[in-house]
Amino acid sequence: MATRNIPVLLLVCLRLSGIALLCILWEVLPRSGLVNPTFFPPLSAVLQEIAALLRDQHLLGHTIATLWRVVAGIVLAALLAVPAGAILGYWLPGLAAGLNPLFRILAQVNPFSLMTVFLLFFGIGEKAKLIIAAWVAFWPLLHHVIGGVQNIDADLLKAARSMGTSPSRLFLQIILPGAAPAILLGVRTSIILLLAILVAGEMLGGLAGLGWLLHWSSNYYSSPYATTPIFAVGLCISLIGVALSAVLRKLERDLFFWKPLESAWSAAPAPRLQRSRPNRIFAVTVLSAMLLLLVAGGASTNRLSKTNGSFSGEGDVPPPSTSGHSSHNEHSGHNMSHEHSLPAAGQSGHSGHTVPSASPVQSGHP
Amino acid sequence: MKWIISVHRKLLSFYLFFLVLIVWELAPRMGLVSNVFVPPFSRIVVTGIELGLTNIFLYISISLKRVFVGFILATVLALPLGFILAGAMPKLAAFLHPLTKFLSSIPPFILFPIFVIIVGIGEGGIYTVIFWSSFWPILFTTIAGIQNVDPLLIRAAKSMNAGKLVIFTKVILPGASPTLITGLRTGLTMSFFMLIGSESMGADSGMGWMIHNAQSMGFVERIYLGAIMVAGVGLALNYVLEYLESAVLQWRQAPDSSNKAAA
Repeated sequence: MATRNIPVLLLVCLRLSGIALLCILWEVLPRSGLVNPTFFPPLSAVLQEIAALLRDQHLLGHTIATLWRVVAGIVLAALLAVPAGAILGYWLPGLAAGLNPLFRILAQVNPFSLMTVFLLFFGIGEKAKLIIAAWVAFWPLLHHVIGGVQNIDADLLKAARSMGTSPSRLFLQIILPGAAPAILLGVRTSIILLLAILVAGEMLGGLAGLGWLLHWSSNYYSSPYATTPIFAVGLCISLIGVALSAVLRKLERDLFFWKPLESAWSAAPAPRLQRSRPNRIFAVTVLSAMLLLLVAGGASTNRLSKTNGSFSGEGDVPPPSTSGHSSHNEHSGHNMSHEHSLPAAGQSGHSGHTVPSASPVQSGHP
Repeated sequence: MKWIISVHRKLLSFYLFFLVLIVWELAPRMGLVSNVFVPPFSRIVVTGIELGLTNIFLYISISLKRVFVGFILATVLALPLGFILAGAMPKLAAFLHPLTKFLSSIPPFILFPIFVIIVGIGEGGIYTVIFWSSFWPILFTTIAGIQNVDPLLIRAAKSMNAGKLVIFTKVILPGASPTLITGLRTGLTMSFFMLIGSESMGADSGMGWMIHNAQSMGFVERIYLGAIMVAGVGLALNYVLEYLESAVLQWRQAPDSSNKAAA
């Protein structure tokens, strides 16, 4: 690798300066008018929009919803694929070879083409989305697990068997650790795909999640620049992708410090840093964060899709007639002035829908 | 007798496949699953015949055209860019590395609304999605492939007074070609995967549109037909690429099995 000659510190500076340069260009080009700012808003406007979305549109909730789906889908897929891959790869290699054509066809079955069928089977709730996510992640994962199991050092297996290890111990102590690097690589490969597919799925039909937010934000026109919300949500999604893959890469480095590093796409060997001791702290942190996300994320996602499930655009039409409110509506002049003072949708340029529970329109009038 | 055994050998891996088809046919007919949700296989074939072979081929060819336009565009841009970045300017490659990583993790679908706003509705959005989803895998594998060429070979060529162009065409390109082809395959698989989604978002023809249309109309048989078509075309593409790979790289000994079964 040619970059090895560059000193590390300089390399870090170089890399960071790439990002800095991009940020500056992003800010300067639209402001100077070289690029049409309507289509390509400056970075500061996008950041402001992110703040606004955080405030008004439950951006955090949507992020958690997407992350929850990604994590739950990948966990589900791993729970199915690892045992299945171990059994097929080690105990039934003949069956694995026999099933290969079927697997290849099933892996080619596009999740979008069967979305409706999944919906028919599992209903329009979270379940269908999880199944789709798990389906997407399952096939690459299974393929990696089978490959990993079959590439375990045969001597280790023979040694374990000659000492009369039971199948369950063989699985837990030899096959699982031996195939773990391949499994994690599979997880990393499929998580990239999963995020892309999930966002698209949410765009096509969903009630929460960043894809939904993106779809929603492409339907309204924000005041100074037209496309700011799209860029804002897109930036969030991309950052999540970067973060996910960085976390997995760090996990890989920490857990499999004895393995030479290879990655899903950029197969360039990473510079060998001093990774002499295994560092479990990060792995444990990630695991606990994942568990927390699985527990708390599900609840928050459900709540969010319930609020969004109500008629979208509720925020900008006159408030729904609650019993105390309908009498209010008759004094139209009074009501109009009242509407103006509301700090709701209109002010920030969002003509879209604000989540009813957050809008003061309903809560203001008993 | 020998003939039967040889046929049996060839079909061995497809038996399970046939079994699945038979179960698919029988389960709805015997009432094990609702035949509205899961129509028997024969009804899907009948739907396909009713739709007409010409229509099916039309949809497939439209979709394939989109994939290939986007994919070829990505290849034409990504391969030379990868050569330049990895071979001539490794420092620039290091400089651009975080940027490319960030860009590559932008899911292609979010470009769709942006593209629609800038250019308008049409084929362009689909091409962009395809382009984007195949560009990055190709670029990354190209860079990796070039950087992993055995430096000993390059030095040997240099010591024999070979020019830069000669080294590139005679040493680096053949040395990196296995990785390059893997990258192309990943790119094509990815772009085909993304095609259906982008076609159901904004298109008026093609397989993705057909499925999307069937979904909104409630033609369950057509959904299954579309799924089978997509899977079949994807599989065929995969096999063609695998064949090309083995034809181009026949000199490579013992291809690793883990790469070969990539779906």
